[in-house]
This record gives sequence, C-alpha cells and structure tokens, in this order.
Amino acid sequence: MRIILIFICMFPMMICAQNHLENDTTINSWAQSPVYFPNKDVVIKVGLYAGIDLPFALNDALLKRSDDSLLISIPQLFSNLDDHVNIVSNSNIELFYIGMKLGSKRKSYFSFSSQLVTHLDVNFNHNFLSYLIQGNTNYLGVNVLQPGIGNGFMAYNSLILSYAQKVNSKLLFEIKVKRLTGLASVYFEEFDINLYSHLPINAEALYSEIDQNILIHTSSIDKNRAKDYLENKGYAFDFGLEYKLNNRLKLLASIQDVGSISWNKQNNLSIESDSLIRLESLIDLDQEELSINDDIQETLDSLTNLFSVDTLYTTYSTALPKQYFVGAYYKIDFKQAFSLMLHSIHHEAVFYNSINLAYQRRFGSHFSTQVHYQVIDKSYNNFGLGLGLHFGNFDMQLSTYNILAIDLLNAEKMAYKIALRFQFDRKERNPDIERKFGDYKNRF
Amino acid sequence: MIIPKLKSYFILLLFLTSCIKEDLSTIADVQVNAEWIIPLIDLSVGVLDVLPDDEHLVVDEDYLLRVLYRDENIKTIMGDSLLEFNGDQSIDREMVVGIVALDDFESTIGVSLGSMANEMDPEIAEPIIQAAALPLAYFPPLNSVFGGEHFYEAFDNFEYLDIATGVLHFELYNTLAIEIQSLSLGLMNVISQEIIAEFSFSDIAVGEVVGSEVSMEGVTLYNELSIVILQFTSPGSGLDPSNEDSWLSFNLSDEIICSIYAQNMTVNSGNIVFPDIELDADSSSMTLNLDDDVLLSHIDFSSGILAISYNSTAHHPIEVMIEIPNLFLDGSSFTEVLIIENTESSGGVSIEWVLDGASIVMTESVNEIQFYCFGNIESNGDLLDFDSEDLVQLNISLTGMEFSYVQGYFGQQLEVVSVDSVIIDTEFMDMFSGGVTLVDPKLYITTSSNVGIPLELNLNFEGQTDSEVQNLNAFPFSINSPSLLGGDETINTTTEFNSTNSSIVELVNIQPHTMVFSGEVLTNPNGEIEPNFIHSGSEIVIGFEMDIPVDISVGNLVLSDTMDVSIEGIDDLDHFGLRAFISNGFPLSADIGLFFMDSVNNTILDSLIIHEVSSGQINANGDIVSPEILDILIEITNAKMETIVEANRIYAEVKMSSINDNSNSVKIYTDYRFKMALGLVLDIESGGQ
Repeated sequence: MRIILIFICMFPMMICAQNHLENDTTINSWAQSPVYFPNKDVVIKVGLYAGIDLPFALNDALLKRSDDSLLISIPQLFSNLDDHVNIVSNSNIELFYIGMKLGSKRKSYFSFSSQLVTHLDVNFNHNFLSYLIQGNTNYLGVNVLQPGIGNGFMAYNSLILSYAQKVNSKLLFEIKVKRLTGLASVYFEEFDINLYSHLPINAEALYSEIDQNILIHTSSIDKNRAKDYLENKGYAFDFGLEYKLNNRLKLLASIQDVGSISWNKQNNLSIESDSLIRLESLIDLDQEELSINDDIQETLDSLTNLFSVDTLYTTYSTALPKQYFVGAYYKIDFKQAFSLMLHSIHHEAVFYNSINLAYQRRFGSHFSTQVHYQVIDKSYNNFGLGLGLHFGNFDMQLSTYNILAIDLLNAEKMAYKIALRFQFDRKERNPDIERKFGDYKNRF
Repeated sequence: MIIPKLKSYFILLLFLTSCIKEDLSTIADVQVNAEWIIPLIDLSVGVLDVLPDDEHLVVDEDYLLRVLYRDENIKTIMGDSLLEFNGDQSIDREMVVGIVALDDFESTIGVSLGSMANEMDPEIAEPIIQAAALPLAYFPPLNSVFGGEHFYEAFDNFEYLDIATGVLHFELYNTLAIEIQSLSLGLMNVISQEIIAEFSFSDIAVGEVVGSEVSMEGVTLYNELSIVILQFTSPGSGLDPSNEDSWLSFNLSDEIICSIYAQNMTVNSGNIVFPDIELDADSSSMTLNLDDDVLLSHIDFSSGILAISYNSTAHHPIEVMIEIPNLFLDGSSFTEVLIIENTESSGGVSIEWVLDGASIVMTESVNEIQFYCFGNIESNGDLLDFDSEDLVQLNISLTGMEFSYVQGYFGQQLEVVSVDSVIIDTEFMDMFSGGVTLVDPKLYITTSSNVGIPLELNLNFEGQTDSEVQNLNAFPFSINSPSLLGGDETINTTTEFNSTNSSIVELVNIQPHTMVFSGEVLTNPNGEIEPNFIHSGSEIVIGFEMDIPVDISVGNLVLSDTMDVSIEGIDDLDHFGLRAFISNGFPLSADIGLFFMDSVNNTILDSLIIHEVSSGQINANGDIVSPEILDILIEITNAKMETIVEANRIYAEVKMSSINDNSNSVKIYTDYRFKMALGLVLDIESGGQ
C-alpha cells in the first residue's frame, strides 16, 4: 500500500500536463459521466475504475493480542456491522475508447469503446450472517429474515457506440447504444430464508426452522457449463442531456444502462430449493433404551432428506443496474469549478444513492486537483481527492473518493480511478492563443 | 508557487501514510466464537403422565385430580328385618247355646161333671148322673171324691223339658152348679205318671175362678200332661135331698175348667222345638306378637290364610256370624255367616280364606285384631234334643301371614349391621413411598332407603393395612326415610366425614388396603314422629365413596426412574453445555438429579444436578396462578463428558416439596404441566487473545 501511495506522491513530479481545467465531471463514485462531449476532436483513452463498498473496515475485525500479534476477530467484526450488510462493488475497465468529432463545426461527436464491467451487489441481513456464523443462541425467539432478491454478480463486456450532439449553444445530448456480452453471472432470483430458533419462554418445545425459498442462477460459473459465453447477449441504452444556463452554470442529467442480458441456458446452472426444515428434539424419551448418538444421527438423516435441491438448466435474464445522474457544474473561473452530482443506482428495487460535491482547481498547466465530498448511501465521511496530470495532449487522472481509505484498516468504502487520455484536435490550433487562453472556443 | 504547494501535498501524503497503524503481516489467527443451541429433549409431563393407569383416578371439570373409591352397595338392610312379625296366630272361641227360654205356653181342659162322675164310685156317681137328667134335682154332697185324670192336649213344641226356671200357673173356673168346698188337683206327666205339681183350693163358689202357681224349677215336664182331681168336696144341694130349694139345675156337661199356663220357662235340656235363640255375642281379639313399643295401624298381606274351624254339639243348626272388623278382604271388612251343623258325628269343619290382598287396619291403639261372633238359632220347627251346654267351638287362625306393606310405629329397635369389608386398590397411593400427606380426603356414606322408618346408623368404619388400623371415629348419623305420602320414592342420604368431624385424614394416610365396617341401626331414633311403614322387599342400601382430592402437602417426596442408555462423546469440543428451559407448573418445588451410572458395578460415575426448581406461583387456594420459569445453563467440561459417556444407565431422581416444605397444602390439577426443553449448547471457539 505504501508503495502505491508513494507512487501517487511521486507521479506529479514526473509528468507534465496541459494546464487547463477539463470539463470533466468524472470525479464521482463512478467511472462514467452523465454526458461526454470533449474539448478535443479526437479522444483516445483507457481507464480503470474500481470501487468497493464494504459493510466493515478491516480494523473492525482486528484485535491485538498480548504478544502484539493480530487476531482477526469475527465476533468483533459482527459487533461493528450495521443492520444491513451490503457489499457493493463495481469495476469498469475501459479497454479502449476512441471518439471523434464530426462536422465542420464539430458539433457531433461519435465514439466507440469497449468496457469490461463487473457489478457485485450483495445484501445480507446482519442477523442472518450472525446467526449462521456465530450461532443461534443470541437469536432465540427472533425471526431472522434474509430477503435477497436481486443479489448477485455479473461480469459483461460492453461494446458502446455513442453519439453526442450539440443542439445549440446551450443544449447537448448524448445517446449510447451498448451491445452486451455476458461473461459470468450469479443471480439470486429468489433468496428468501427465514431462520428461526424458538425461545421456549414457557419451556415449550425447543426447535429451529429453516424456511427457504431459493432460486440461484449461475452462468459460466460451473466450469462444466461454461460452453459459449458469446451466447449471453443483451443490449443497453444511455441518454444524457447537458444544458448551459449561462457561461458558468450548466445542468446535466442522464439515464444509463437501461437494458438487460439474457444468459443462455447452455452456460447456466441454477439451483432451486423450497422447503421448510424443522429441527426438533433429537432424543425420543419414549424409548426403553436411549441411544443418544443413534437418535441424533437418525434425526440428521431425516433432515437431510427434507432438504432437497433441484438443479435447473434454464435461460434467465438480468437487468443492468440503471444509473441516474442529475447535477450541475459551475465554473468559477478558468482554474476553478464546482460540481454537484446526484447519482443513483437502481437495481432490483434497491436504490444506491450518492451525492458528490466537488471542487476542481488547476495548478499551473500540468497539475490539477479535485477535492470532493460524497455522501454515499448514508455514509457521510467520504472525502475524495483527485489528481490530474496534464502534459500536452496527454492526461492522467488518479482519483479516490475516500481519501481516508488510505488507511485500509479503517476504510469501508474505497474507490479508485485511473484514467489515461490522449486527445487532440484534427486541425492545428494556435498554440500561443491556447497557451494563454486554453481552448477558448470550447471555453466555458 | 507551485513547488511549495507540491511540497505541502507531499507532506500531506506522508502524513496520511502514517495513519496505517498495523502491520497486517502479524495476523496470526482468526477468532471465531460461535454458540449453537440444538434441540435435544422436549419434555412435557402432566400428572397423568406420571401416575399409573388407575380406574380410581378421576378428573373434575376444573381438572382437579381426585382419587375416588366407590362402592354403591357395601351393605343392604332389608326393611322386613326391622319388624319382627309373627306370621302365625290363632284364637279359640266357644259359643254356648245356654238355657233356652221357651215361649209361654198354656192349655185348658174342661173337666165335666160327667167325666168326674165316671171316675167316682158308682154309688156316688149314679144319683148325680140321674139327677143331671132332671131339670132340677138334688145334687148330693161330694166328700173328697176322686175326680179322675183328665188329659190335656199334648204340647207340640216339646216332648220334654228339663226346666231351669219357670212358673206354672193353674187356674180353675167353677162352672159347676155346685160350690166346691175343697179341691185338690195334681198336674201329672202322663208319660212318667209323675205328679209334678199339686194345687188345692177351697170354697170355690159357683162361677168363681181361682188360681195358683207353682215354680217348675228343676221339673221335667213332658208334653203330655193331665190334671188329676185328687179330691173333690162339694156340699152339693146340701144334706137334705128333699129340700127342693136346694135343688140345682145341673148337667153332666157342667165343667170345671182347668187351665195351665207356663210362663218364663227356661230350659236346661229337653227335646224341644228350638225357639229363635240369640246366642251370647262373643267378642275377642287376637294380639299380634310384636315388641312392646311397636304399634301397627295397617297391614297389607301378600300371603296368608285365614282359617275358621268349628265344632258344634248343638243339634239345631246355628247361624254364626263372624265379624273381623279389622280385616278387609276385597275391600270390605270380614263378615262371614256360617251355618254350623252338629259335628259330633261328622267331625270339625274348617273354612279358609286367602289373605293375599287383604288388609288389617287397627283403629285402636293396640295391636289387636278384633273378632266378633254372633250366634243365632232360627227355629226350624223340628223337635230336637237340646242341652243348654251345647256349644259351638270356633278356632280362628291367621297363618302364613306375610305382609306386603305394614304401617304403624315400629318402636326403637336396634338392628345389628354385621361385619363386612371392602378391598381398596391403592396403587395410586402406593407409589408414594412417603412424604405425601393427603390433607382433604372425604368419606361419604351414602344410603338409599325406601323403608319408611327413620334410622340412625352408628357405623364402625376402619381402614386396615398389614400393620396398622385406623378407625374413622364416625359420629352416628341419620338415614332419611321416605314420607308416608311419598309413595314408593327412595330417599338418598349422603353423610360426609371430613377432617373436621372424623379421623378420615389419619385413616387415608395409612394407605389402607381394606375397609372393615360394622355397626348398629336404631329405628326411630327420635321416637314416634310420623308413621313408619315398610313395603315388602324395601331395603336400605348403604354405600360409600371415598373422595380424595389430590390436595397434598409434600415434604421431600422422591420420584425416580431408571433408563438404560448408550452415549458417545462429541469430539473436538472443549466444552459444551446443556441449556434447560424449565416451566414448572406444579405447586411443588423440585430438585432434579441425573445420575450417570455403571450398571455393572452399580456405581455413580457422575451427575447433573438442577437445584431448587421453584414451584409455580400459587394463590391463597393453593391453585397455580403462573408457572415458574427457569432458564439454566449447565456447563459440561470435556473431562465431565468423558465420564458421562462411560455410563450405560441413567438414574433420574426428582425430590419435591410443597411451598415452605409441607406447611402448605396444594391441589394437583391435571392441566398442570412440567415442561423442560433441553438444548445442547455447542460453544465453538477458536483463536483467542
């Protein structure tokens, strides 16, 4: 970790960059921006975004022993968990991106890119996990519900064709069509588990029940079933708008990833189980001679017979998590700007929301920085820091939305972004003018 | 300008790197602490689950457990036995004919002068006879001449009489033309030629009537009588025959009329035509053989014979009416008229009447059956021998009397109830080896009586075991009886013996196997209050019911059970535990012990003890308001487990006590439950500090 941070520290001294403030509102929790209409005519970029939102920090699980060695303490971990244990992780690797403005007035912009996207969204009930891991003793008499519809993971490749158009000096829209190829998927179509261990308040029978209704789809997870992932197809669409109120303020909005992937059954393996298992007293006192272990074995055998899992091979489809962006960008001057972005991810009736407030400042011509504050899903202590290096047509951007994640032990939310961009105009521009005023035509 | 800023930035990054405090390479272990509870045993025990099947265990509507011993008939006292009644009784009576009073009878004859002259000396008679032919003639004097025997007409109402009393009147009417100076007459039985009476008269003028009477007592009078003129003296016409002035007109048909008149004749014997005679009425009574203070008023018979036997020495049929006003046959009082003939040659006669359906009603305050005999002779006009000592002998008997109903006052009689016993099946109580006291048992003596006699039963009731005897010490109690107006109703009486009026508590708590009873029944303990009655077949049935609510005080009662087991250990656990959720819905506190034993050596290898499981909360009545809830964790170390798995037998023992030991009694209801849910607590720990 230290190595990475040293690299971050060193990098600004190694790289020079253009000294202008990019109209780049990508400093947010996601790699994607609501609307992208670059300043330059041609853009080539690659990037990596990875973020993970954990329900705990490593330090929550660490205990120091008397000999200074560390102990991962599961009990301590659970004591620090919230009621809802959500693990959300997204990554987006922009394998390649090429975009070009077209038209004499450069009002149209086309791009073609390929992204490798992963999305992990797992929601667990704290009590459910605690029941399974720490035992049922603390949950006697409590219904532990684990509704898990929509949990899952997907990895897909997205070939994106985008078209952005400046309608007029104020209005800009962008449309994207995405061709999706599913790479792997785990999808919890149904995952309702009710765990209940009865508390015999009046010494009635002690029993435990597992009421489960599970339907989990997997695609290309079982190596025996990953036959041809290219058959996992889907489409998605993005639409965005940008509106300039004045020279300083513009409003943005977009809806993204409206689409789904159909996972072909030849790659799929699903398991289905719907049963109610009740564990009652293991020992039957009515016997003349007690053989306790035989009784226990007999009971466990009968329970095993009750728990049945059906294996299915079906086609299923998963919807992509839709993203909604609404924001504003306010340019103070050539060097400084504020942005406010509301971002919501909507997946399986769950909204994962964030608010990003960013301040950008350009230092000289090669260095810019962003400082932002985010409220992410009821987490209020997310301060991010971004660094931009600009050398000529080449930009490099490193960002984290939670600088405190440097302390990995205490970080729950981490997201990093690395982007490399090479952009240029097809026509030679006046370097002197640009040196003094930047790309004034596109100055905002 | 920029460089200072970069430096500041660099310093800031270095500062931030120093926030990584821990060296993650020193992570040595993962601490896991999981605790699982697995249902092991589910126990729910009610009192009926513990007790053996026993037909004597009953459950009330409110679930109170009771032990009930009942025998509806341990003794039967027949109503008939309460009244000693002699079924055979008789009386003898005689009806004597007695002296017969004959009707007065009379007879008159005229003794004519001519007939007398025929009996005279011819020398005396001739002149009289010749002069009688003349219209006027001299009647010579007669001097003590015999006038001859002159016969009365025979009486037809007797042949002879032995006269007891009576007077014979003689009357003479001189219709001769001459005066009778003296006359002596004799009345003679012609048959016996015996003068039975003499009469003398003097100076009987012409046309004069003279009379005399004579007692005939002791005289035998035959029906043929004559009058004998023993001496007749008359001056006639005087001594001068020539004195024509003394000459008389007379005729030979001139008579002396002699009349005899028997009056108030009573006869001892004879041969007579019986007059209508009323024999002396005879009244008598038959006293029933009963105890002194018994006074019957009504008897209905179911069987019996009324027999009247008679013998008669009277030669005349006697009509005898026998009246038994107390006795009712066919709804009316017994009145029978017998025509009793002479039985000297034929032998006695007996007539019977069946008493089935008959009744005797005593109206007087005595246990007597009145008998009235009336004898009547209605003359049949025949001449029959007669003796005043002729009699009719009657024997009136009542035999084989059995009553279907008797009413009266039966007095105060003491009837012994013979010794008897009832075996009690005490399997329920035997299961308590001690420490249980039944605090509120009750014994009910039930009687069912359709005998109309108030009774008092003095019962001697004992419970017995092999080694102990405990008497109930029961007080004498009343057995109610039906009233006279109640018809055939049966009255049930229940008498309760409880802890306040008897020794039932002590009796029950010796756990008797046998109940032995005897006693005495006193009739009419309060004297005569209302009439007693007994129907045939009526009875008093005595039963008992011993009601033992399981209302107990318990001081250190021990219940135990043994079961063979086979236990294997649980590997890879340092220790685990048993968590017991206990609900004690019984009003008893308990110490529970499980002893793990080696049955071969009969040794206890280890034990698990749960101390003082308190009783449920009880109210003032000893009823459970709420159970006592316990949540107990029993740690079992690995060392303890190693010992337990060696056991092949578990001895379970429960010691129970009432609240405050046995100073409180508690009721046991069948809806009380002792529940225990036992869970196996697996404590999985790895890692650690």
